[in-house]
Amino acid sequence: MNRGKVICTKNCIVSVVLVIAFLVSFLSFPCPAEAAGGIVLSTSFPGIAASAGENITFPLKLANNSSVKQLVNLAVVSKPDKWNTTLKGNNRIIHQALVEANSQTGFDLLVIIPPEAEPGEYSLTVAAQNENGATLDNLRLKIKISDNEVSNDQLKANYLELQGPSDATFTFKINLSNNGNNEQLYSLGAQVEEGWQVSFKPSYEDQQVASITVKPGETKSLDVKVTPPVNVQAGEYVIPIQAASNVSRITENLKVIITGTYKLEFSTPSGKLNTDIVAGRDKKVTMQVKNSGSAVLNNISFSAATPIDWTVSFEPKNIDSLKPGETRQVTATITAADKAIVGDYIVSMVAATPVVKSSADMRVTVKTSTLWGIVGFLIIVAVLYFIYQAFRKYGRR
Amino acid sequence: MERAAKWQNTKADLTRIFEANKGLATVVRKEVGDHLSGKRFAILALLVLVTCLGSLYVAASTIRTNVGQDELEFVFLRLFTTSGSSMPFSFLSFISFLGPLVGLTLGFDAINGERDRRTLSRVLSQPIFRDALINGKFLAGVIVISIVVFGLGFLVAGLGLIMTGVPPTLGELARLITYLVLSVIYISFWLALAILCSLLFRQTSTSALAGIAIWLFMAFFLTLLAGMAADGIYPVNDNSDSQQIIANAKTEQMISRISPAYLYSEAVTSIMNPAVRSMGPVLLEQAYGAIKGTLTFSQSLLLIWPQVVCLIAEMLICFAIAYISFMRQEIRA
Repeated sequence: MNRGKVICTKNCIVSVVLVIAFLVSFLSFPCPAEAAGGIVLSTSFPGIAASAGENITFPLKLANNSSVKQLVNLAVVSKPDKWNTTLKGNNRIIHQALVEANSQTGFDLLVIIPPEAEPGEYSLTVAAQNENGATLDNLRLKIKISDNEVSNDQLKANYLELQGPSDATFTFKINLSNNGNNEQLYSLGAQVEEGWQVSFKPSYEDQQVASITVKPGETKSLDVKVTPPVNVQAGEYVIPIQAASNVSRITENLKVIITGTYKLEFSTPSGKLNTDIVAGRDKKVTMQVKNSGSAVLNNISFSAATPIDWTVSFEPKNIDSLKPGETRQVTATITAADKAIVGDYIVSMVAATPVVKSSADMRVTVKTSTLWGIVGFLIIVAVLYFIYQAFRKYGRR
Repeated sequence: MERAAKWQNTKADLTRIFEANKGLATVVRKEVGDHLSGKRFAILALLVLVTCLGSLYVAASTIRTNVGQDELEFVFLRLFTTSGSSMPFSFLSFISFLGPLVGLTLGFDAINGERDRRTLSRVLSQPIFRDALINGKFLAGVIVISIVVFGLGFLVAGLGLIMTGVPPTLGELARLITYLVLSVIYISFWLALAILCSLLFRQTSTSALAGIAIWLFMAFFLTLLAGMAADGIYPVNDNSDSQQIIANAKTEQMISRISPAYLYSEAVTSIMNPAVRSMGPVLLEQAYGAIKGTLTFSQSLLLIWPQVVCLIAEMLICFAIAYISFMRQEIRA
């Protein structure tokens, strides 16, 4: 009985094992059954981050682990809306691959992400099928689009702030780096107020450009020329420039600091720089000072270089401050020397601040007083009277 | 009332003077005719004409060769003031040299010549007064001088215009006319002086000689004397200070100005050269800041006005003395 029990037990164990094995084969065999052809689809990095509008290329591998060569249909079976995909092998669009026994072949999946793609996670599935449409292998690819990874391109200026007078032209050197995977065309632009001019040109070239192509990983150097308006006031000005490609939009704020220019114009209101004067007398001449620079001029004083014994006085004697563009009139009183001879003299008048000065050379024509002319006339009249008296006394003989 | 009475007196006097000159027009007409037809005048006029045309030719050719070399402003006036290397006299210097001779020639025998010919008493027996005779002789002389001076002046101007082709500006024309009027006044002074001499000396040769002697003294010797006198009053040597030198120069100038010839030359050189700004010494402090330029006509005229007044006054006084001495002379003797 015992022996019979033992045999029975041994049989039972074998049959249980067999059953389990059978069951296990049922559970696990469907997969090996699908991969019965031994076709495996794979890639090194199935999950990557990208930005909207970008083109991504996945290098894919197709391995045939069986001992017979196989023809495989390739297709993208699922993808987000409006995304475009292309399978490429040997630079051609492909939809089938023939894989030798125990070898592998490579091809690319090109994914074109639409620019309006929202941030988020997207997935695509690439399938390898046999001729009957039965799936041999699937590969799920994940693409993560996020805001802060919109661009890692760079627009960087060597010097962010430049300083100079209002009539200067400012040239910024900026570097534009394409850190993406694809060549990009960047259109260049600046947001400026009216009157400002901004132009871009590649460094060491003369041509102005509106856009520029940069290869992946390359950095291009650009000169940005900023010309302020003619009547610009002293101060700080921010000039935002941007380079926009179809995947990214990068900006940089350039700053221009306009220091004031000091310019002073000293003349007469009409520009006429000659006058008449009688020797020994004085003459009032209206002069005009104009601040034609871009900074306030303080403490303008007046002086004159005159011929000897001449004097020039100014009313007002000095001007405390003059705003840019402002004009002020000054009365200069020129007094000629008593002994000045008839004819032309030069009187040089100077308006000066501690910073700048401007001079006006006035041609002064000295005239003789007509007083002596009248005296001479009286002498002749006296002589004529003398003759009259002679005629009266001695006449008619 | 008193003023009205005075005015009545003056009016009566003027009428009397006017009546005294009743025969004036006749005398003037006859005298001018005598002068213009006389051989003496013809010789002198020819001399003056030839020399003036010679000076014009030299001036015009000098101006033409100098064109482009230096700035030629006032080309028209330069016709009268330019002298060349072949003929070192300009129109201006010829007139100032020969003008007094013309004046002296016209007047040196005005009265004593009549006396010599015994025609004076005959003339005065006609219904004309002495006034008319002396006034008429002087006026006739002035008219002849004016004809000569203006005729020559405009002849030279016209020929110069043809030769250079540069028309005068209004200012230049005014200067030219002023110059010619001044020349007439100057020569009339010598005429008045000659008439005075013809009254003072009975012999015509004596009066002619006296006139020429005065002219030579005034024109040539007075300036030499003036320099000597100035050196006497303010001696100048190499170490003298500027004030001494100026005082010397001014003294010399003041003494020279006694001579009408000097006054005349000062006046005409200034009026014919607009660049002249001052006569006499100019201090450095006056010249500092001055720039080259020319004067307007009115300013030039004001500059020479004292000279003009002096010349007019000298001429009138000279004539007045001649008039008075003629009136007081005994004729019938």
